[in-house]
Amino acid sequence: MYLKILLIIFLSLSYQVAYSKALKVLAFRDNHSEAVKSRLAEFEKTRGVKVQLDLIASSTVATKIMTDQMAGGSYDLYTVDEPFIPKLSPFFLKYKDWPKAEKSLSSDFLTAALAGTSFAGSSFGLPVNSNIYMYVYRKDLFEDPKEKHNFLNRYHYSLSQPKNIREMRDIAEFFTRPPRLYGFAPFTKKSEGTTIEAIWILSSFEVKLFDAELNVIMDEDKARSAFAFYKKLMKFAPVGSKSWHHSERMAAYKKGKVVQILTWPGFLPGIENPKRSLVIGKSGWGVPPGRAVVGTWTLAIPKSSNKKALAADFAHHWTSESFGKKLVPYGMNPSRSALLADPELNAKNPWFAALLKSFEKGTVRPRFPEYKKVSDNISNHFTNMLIGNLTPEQCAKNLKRDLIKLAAEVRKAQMAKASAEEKL
Amino acid sequence: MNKMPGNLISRLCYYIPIAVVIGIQILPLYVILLTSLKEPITLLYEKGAINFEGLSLANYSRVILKDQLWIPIKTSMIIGITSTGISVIVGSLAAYGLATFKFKGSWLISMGILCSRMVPPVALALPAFLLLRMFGAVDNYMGLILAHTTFNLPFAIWLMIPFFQMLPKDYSDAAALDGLGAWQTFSLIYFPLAKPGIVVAAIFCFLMSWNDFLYSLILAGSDTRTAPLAINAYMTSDQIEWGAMSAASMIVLIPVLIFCRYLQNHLIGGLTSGGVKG
Amino acid sequence: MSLTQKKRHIVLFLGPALTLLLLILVFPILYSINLSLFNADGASWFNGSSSFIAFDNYIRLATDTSFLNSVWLLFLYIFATTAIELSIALVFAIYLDQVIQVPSWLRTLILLPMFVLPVVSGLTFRYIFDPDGGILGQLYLLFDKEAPDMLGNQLLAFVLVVLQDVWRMWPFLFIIIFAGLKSLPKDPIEAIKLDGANFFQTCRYVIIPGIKGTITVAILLKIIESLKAFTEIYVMTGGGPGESTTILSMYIIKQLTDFSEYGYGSAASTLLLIFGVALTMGLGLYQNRQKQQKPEVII
Repeated sequence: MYLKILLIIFLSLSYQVAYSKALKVLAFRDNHSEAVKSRLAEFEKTRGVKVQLDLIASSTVATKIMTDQMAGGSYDLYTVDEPFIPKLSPFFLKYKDWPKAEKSLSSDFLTAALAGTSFAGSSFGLPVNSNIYMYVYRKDLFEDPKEKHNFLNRYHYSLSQPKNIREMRDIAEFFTRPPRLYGFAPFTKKSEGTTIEAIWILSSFEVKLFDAELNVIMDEDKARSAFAFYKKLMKFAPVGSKSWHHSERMAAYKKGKVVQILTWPGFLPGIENPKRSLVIGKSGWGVPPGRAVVGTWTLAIPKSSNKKALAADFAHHWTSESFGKKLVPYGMNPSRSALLADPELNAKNPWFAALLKSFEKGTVRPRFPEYKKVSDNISNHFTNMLIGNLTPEQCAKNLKRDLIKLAAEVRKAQMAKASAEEKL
Repeated sequence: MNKMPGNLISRLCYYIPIAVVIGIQILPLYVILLTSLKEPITLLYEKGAINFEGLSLANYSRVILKDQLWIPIKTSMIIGITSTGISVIVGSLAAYGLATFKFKGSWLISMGILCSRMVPPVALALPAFLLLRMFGAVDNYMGLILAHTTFNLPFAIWLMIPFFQMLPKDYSDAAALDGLGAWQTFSLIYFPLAKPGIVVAAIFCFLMSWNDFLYSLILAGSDTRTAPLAINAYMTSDQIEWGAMSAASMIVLIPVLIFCRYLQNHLIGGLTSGGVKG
Repeated sequence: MSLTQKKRHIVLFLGPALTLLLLILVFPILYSINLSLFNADGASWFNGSSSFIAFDNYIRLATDTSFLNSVWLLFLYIFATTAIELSIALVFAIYLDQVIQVPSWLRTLILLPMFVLPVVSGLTFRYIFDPDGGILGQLYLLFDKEAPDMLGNQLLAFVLVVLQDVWRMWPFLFIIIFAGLKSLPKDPIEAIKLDGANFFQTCRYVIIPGIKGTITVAILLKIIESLKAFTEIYVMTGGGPGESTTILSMYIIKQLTDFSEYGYGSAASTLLLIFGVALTMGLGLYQNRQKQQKPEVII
């Protein structure tokens, strides 16, 4: 009887011990990271260690990294979303200091991807899951002769993939036939995704927020036009879309309710999934009109880790070409051009060609240390405008005012830090 | 009861409001049930959410087998049972003490217990979050168990006091004559006698733990996800999974439904004996 | 019983509970109140550099429109849900006590929503009123029409949140009042009926005054519950379009999770605490005075 109890205690303790030696990785949760999680055995067998991969919602990763590092750092490897690299970089090992680092980062990685891992001239890790919005549309409807005819009559040019946002607007208007069909699907839930939406429309109107010295150079007038334009686009969106996230947008497209969307490539396989989609085989893909936002996640090793070599091994494994080939079907977006050009993968993911081209036109989110505050401000004012609390003009004005305030705060903090360091 | 007209039709009319009310009460539950039994793709169809097409157990098998819902359920159970255990045991001691011993500060303590009942969980969530972080006790059971005890314990005491007050004092006199100490008087006599009240308190405490979302949201990590968090998680993936969420909800509702019939009788009993009378 | 023996008993029985409560309830609250006097936020709390700013957080709260809005919404929410639920519960309790009888299993069906997890309740209502793929949306599609965006309308979202609570919680008040009705002495009712009173007069002059204490208890319990409201609103609207359903508890949690404003959030939660305790104590004392009983007896 006592022996049984002792045995149970011993087993549970050794279970605990085994896991405490494990490599602890924190990553965002999506199809592809779930796929990594189900394939941990591959890596574990070759190294003889367990890997504990914790997956959490992508919007919570940055905060979790912050609190984890402040509490001493319990993880050995993190995935870091691009806009947070400036703020979190002090915690991480520069890539050139990684154990067993390749002499120079592989030239196979996309330039935009590498840029996403860097801040102030140094890279802080390996890029994984490089993203840029794709334009996805109902090819079957665009190629329907009756639709083409009607469109030509109404707008005096041929119906095809939009080359700019005005054409996108025309297409949206043309196809909005409530209650079953609509022309536009927004992203409007107050979160990072909405910031990306706002930056998309601002960049498409040639509005830049900050310059390299963190001065606010936002053109208020152009910003107002951008916001007003987006607001008009909302007229072509389904009911209830004032608080849409990726899930709602994708569901609407897969139901056949909207004819065109901008979305992350990671969601594209889901459109062809017979268990989840009603529009299989009806889609086409292209470069987004306007200027789409690029985003890449970085696999970064914190200085606090005591398993840096193991973490580096795992990071290299995750971003290797061979492993990548297995992950792409699960929605991983290659950061390596070899993967994007691979014929086998292209056959299954025909949008890769368009993806490669899109990266050239992309724009990045503001490189600002207090990025979260900037993002919150943008999505706050933007969503307030969309539900009618602010006019586009007020939205632009308030945004500029808040950005100037933030920039001043950051500059003050930087000066305080500089003078404190001088005193030492 | 004596207002019923003899006419059958008008008698039936009196029952219509009841039928309507019961219908409204059940309707949302019926919606979850129906949604949980649908093949996910059916929900994308135009009328898919409201007709009877595509009925299947796909959601249930996915939720149980693929998503392993039994893990969050196990977590909720462990936390619920432990917190309830602590609250009921410690609480019954306190309830007995307050009901039996009259001393100078007892009114103050009773007021204090009552005040603890009024603390909105939000007020504790913030300090709990920071304090647990300081002690590194995040993402383990203890943090959540303690958090749940903050509302279970005062509630248990509050609920059990009337039950102990109701019991006659003669037993304690008899016990004193028999030479039993205070502890034995309690454990051998009064505790068993107050069992109905204790059981009610235990069920309520467990249910309140089971329902908790706020503390779980703030304090739980990936290892200690509770059932309500798991249900909500279906809303934040790349698909809004109404079907899976409904199936998970139905499964999580099972313990509650088991207890509710039992509770209804005791709820009325407990409240009336607790001096609810005007 | 000797004094020391009695003291020992008190320590034995009340000790564990009081110690536990002191540790897990009183201490965190004091910590929170203390924190509210500092300008602690994410960065400064962790590296210990928050500075003492006395009541500055509270002054800032007084001019913060979001905060004031959340307080107002909390009041409105408590008032609306309590008033509506009380009315419905009262009507039905009297109906089922005086007018017709139903078997208890039928009563259980009325009570069913009470036992539904707030998470499930919030999500279900969200699903029902979703104008896109939800029940409402599909019902409108049957008639080839676009559903109204109720959850996206600032006023309607609040109404729906109240509706969700009414559905779930009016049975709670119902049981309490029903129990009170069942324990009313029959004689006064018989007496007034013999005097020729009709149904409504009976209610007005005998029944309702008779259960006044019960009603007060019901209101008190309901208010305590309402102060805790969070989950159902969080999953249903996340604070609503803009901030139209961001009641105080949601505001506080947002300070914690979205802004890491620990000091500021603690100040808001201290105010909520004071408000909650004051309100319920006030009602409790009122009820005690009504019952004219010794304050030792807890309702």
